[in-house]
Amino acid sequence: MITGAEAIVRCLENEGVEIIFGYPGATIAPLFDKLSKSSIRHILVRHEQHAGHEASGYARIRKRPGVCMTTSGPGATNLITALATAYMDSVPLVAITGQVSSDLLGRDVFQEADMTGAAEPFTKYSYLVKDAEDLPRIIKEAFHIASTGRPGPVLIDIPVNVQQEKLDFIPAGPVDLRGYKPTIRGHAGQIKRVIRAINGAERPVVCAGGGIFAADAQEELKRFIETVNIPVISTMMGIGAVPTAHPLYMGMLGMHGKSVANQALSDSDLLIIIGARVSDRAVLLPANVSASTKIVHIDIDPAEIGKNLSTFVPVVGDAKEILTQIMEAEPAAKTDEWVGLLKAKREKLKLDYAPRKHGINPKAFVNMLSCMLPEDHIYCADVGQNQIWSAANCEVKTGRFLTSGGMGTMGYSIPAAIGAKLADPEKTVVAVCGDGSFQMQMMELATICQHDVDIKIVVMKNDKLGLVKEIQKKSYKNNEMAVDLTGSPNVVAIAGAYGIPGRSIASLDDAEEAIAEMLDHKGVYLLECIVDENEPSL
Amino acid sequence: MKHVLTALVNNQPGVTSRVSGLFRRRGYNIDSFIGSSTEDERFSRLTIVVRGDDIVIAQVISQLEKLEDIISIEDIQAESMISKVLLFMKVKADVNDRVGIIVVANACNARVIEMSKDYLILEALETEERISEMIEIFKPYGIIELVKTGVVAMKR
Repeated sequence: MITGAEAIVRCLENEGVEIIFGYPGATIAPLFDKLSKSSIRHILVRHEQHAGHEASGYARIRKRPGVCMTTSGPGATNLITALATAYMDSVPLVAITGQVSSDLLGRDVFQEADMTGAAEPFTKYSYLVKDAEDLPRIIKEAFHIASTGRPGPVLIDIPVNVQQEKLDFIPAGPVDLRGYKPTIRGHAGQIKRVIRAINGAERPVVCAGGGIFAADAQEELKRFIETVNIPVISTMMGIGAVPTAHPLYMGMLGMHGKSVANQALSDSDLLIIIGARVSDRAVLLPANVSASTKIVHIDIDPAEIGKNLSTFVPVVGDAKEILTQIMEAEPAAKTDEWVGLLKAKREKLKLDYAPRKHGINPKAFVNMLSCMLPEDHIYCADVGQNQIWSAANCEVKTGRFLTSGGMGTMGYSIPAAIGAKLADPEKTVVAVCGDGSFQMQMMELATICQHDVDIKIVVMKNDKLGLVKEIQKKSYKNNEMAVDLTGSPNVVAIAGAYGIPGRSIASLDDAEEAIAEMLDHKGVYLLECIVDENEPSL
Repeated sequence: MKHVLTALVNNQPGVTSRVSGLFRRRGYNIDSFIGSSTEDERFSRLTIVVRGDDIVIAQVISQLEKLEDIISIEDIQAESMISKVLLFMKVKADVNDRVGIIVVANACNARVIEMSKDYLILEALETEERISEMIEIFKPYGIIELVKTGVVAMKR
């Protein structure tokens, strides 16, 4: 007989878990006690929300569910923003939360929160474990559900008495969930219709979303667009699905996207959406897509198809599998003229990389940064103006661009970078945030120091919540309210207090040397860039 | 111990979810849950059968009363209510069994509402106990499919 806590640790080891991001507390104490005897590494965070974000960064790079663990009540509710962030961006997480003793459930005892209820809209599935005997099955199912189909966060809420209960440990058999059988292979008839649509198209365009990464289909996508000669645009989550410098890549679409990408979308006669939701940020109005444009929508989640745009050919399945099926049918289209037109437009795009009178030009800076980083670097962009600057100006080659695309969660970049670095220590990982978002995550500097995580941090400082300021300028008659960050600390000094070296630059002239210094430094480093408060996001 | 609660609630989206969410959150066991519109379109009537001792039921009622959307709620006692359950049951019935099943159905106060060469569909409107008995009676013939409502109840 072993305890529930020992059984949980054993199950996690069997799932191949290497790292858990967590924060302890009374109702999760039995599990922490047993975790100390495991080979699984525990990363102590400084706020539960960041345990979730770190697990997210880890999952996106390691391509397996990230695991985070907190106590009940506030520990669990603090995790909710991270669950919602992962849910919106389809990131596989397994979140384990402690819960009060099961005989006390529903009585509002100390640190009781209805976590399965509270997290319900933000989880792919959740469990409240009532019996320790169920633990092996539930944990196996949780990992299966999180990582298959459309990935997402799964919550396991475990009362403290269940962790203490004794059980005969019997490893779980194969997962058998009657109501859960994701479709992987595309329907042969639908593939034929896709081929017919491609073969008949004159102005086709592919819109790549985050689903390309979830399916690990970058190679297949590249082969498809190169063979048929189809231009590609991407959503924010799809940045890097093909290298940004690829001759067929026309940039990110949408509100903050490239004009040529939006033109490709509106002028196309065939739009092939792969693994994307086409949310309001991507396509401002579904009306922007011409009524005569045929839409092929490939997604593993049937509920996404037709949700925001009416679809001509829906194909449910895994992007990698479906792209392979499409290639087997040898599609061909005459697109030379169309591709030439878009390429010419792309050439003519003016990049505004000129130096500024006050502060650095952030667009030029992030471009320079991404070009100076190794080709396979991981770039974590936060939320706000810095996200738009990064999304529009970063060069992504063989690495990854990680950001909170769906939820737009401020304070994502540094924890995501920590998770990504721990998932792949060989890679250079950089987090770029604003001074607003930095202050939502700066407690994680301690996590970085404690666990010796070598990431590079860039803080764009304009003493303003820049993106909101822009909204107020545009839509509220310049009535600036609550966007002034006066009172913020000197971030280089803050880093210094943690023993983290750093410097501040206020001119693009110093950028190259400062970036080189940051990249040459072994270990975590913080670079502050002073930006003019009136610098627009576009 | 089973209790039948009858609640008049606002007829708005989300009310059912709030009420059922409260049961889940507090760990109360629902036996059945029925909602329907009433003669007044502003309100719906929920009939909830819940298990628990008197202390638990008193808690359930107090917690439900706190919900803004609940206009009134009452625990109706068995002796002062009428209550029924509606049952549809598809029973295997080949040539040999058919007559027997119809005789039994009549004895149980169930009606044959559809007939095919392989099966019959029976309908019954009875108390919860009688419906449970009826299901046991028909099991030996082979029940292909079964559906029943929860308890609907009204105070006399």
